[in-house]
Amino acid sequence: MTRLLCIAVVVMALACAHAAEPKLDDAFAWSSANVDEGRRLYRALCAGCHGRDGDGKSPAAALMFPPPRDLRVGAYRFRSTTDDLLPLRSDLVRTIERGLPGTAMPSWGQQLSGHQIRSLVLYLETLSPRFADEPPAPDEVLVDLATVEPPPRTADLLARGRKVYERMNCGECHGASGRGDGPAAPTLRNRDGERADLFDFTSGDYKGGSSPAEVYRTFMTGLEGTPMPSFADALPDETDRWALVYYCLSLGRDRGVWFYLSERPTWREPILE
Amino acid sequence: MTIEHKWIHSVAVTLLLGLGLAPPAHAGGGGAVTGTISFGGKVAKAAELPVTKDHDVCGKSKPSEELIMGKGGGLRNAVVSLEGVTGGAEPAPATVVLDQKGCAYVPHVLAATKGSTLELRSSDAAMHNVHGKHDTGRMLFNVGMPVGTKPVGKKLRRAGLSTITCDAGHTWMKAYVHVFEHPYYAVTGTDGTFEIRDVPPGTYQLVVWHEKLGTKKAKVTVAEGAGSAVSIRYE
Repeated sequence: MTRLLCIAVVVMALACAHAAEPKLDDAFAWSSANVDEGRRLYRALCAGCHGRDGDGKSPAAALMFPPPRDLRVGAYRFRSTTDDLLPLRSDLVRTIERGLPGTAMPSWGQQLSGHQIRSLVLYLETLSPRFADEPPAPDEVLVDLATVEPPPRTADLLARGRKVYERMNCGECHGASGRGDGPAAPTLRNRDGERADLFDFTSGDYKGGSSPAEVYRTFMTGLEGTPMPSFADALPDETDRWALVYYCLSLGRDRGVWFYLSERPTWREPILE
Repeated sequence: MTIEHKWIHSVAVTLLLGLGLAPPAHAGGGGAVTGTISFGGKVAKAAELPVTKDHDVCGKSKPSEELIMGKGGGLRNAVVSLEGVTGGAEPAPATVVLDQKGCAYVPHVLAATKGSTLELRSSDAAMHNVHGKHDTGRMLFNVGMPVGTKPVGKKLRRAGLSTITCDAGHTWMKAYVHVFEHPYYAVTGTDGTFEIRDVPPGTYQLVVWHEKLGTKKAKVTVAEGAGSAVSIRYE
């Protein structure tokens, strides 16, 4: 049994590793001519969980926590923007390509072409009136994953990160040891009233992506529809921001398949000597 | 406005209302819509809200702010606005402040013009986050404010009512923010009085909102060079 599990983990790991680098298809025309293809794909691949009309109601949804999103709301958690702004198309492409670790949402980067994923995004935009009503605001991007450059991880930065974790009161919700069991945790609810799935940093599988840049983005933008706020204002110092990112990642070292595969580079070494 | 001025003002308004006269008009052809919002019903005194954490900063309990009355039932924190005003002054966005003090929002109810900046402050030595949710269910902003966070400005881009809450275990904290696309609104003071200035001549729908008592509407007419006085009583 254990061996079978190991094999399953390795197979999943290889699949994830391959999906880690989003394929960019710059030639894609964001033309409404592709909406039909997106609709066809949605009905075939997404409706099983997200519901035929995108309302998140499907027989399968009852078995899922967190449940599939109601796509008609037009509110997305993992995005380069913050506050009440819509996500960028590239954010939605990324989520479909990579999936959401720790949830039922798989990565589609293997099965679908860049063209197909973008067609799906076009179709998603038709499910919520927000996309027609609110012009995109690319100049209001808070964290652009294409340009953000993580500094080298150092022991100093990690030690500083622990202090920032305390100073920012992250433990209030996530607990002093980062296991998602802080004193405020039992009171926390998401927008739809479901209990908030407090992130356990020791799991290492960040839904918004486990690379330093992605974790940085999540801390800056916050997570729409959840109690997780933006820390962009509370943490104006760039070094403090990265210190917190590396410290939180260090809590999940040697755990999480996603963590292993999405970031294998040099900074994954013994953390605190 | 000093306390003395407030007093004189409220006496003046009461006198004018008593005589059935409207207050004098302001420059711009129209006048001011003034009046008192009050409550004549009976309510049990609202229970204090229990404080469940950070007692050194927040205290043992907080007074409920959902129904605050002055003399004669004057209702505080009602929001009065006029619908359908055209041809008046351009709305002027400004900066309005929402402070967190002793684990309560100050003010509890505020109103602003669309495009204004909501300046979020924390005077508390406790972790807060300021989570704004629009009536439509969407998030407006969610700002983490650990101890020592400098004031944060947020643009109020959407008209309508939003609630502000704190997820950091301070479940009793709540504030209301009304954003209007025009400048014709006011929040009632401690005695329930309000004044909406420089309203162009015309007949409008006056809308009163109160967090516990709900919404009431009335027609008001502002004549050329004259104001209008309205009193609304919840029962």
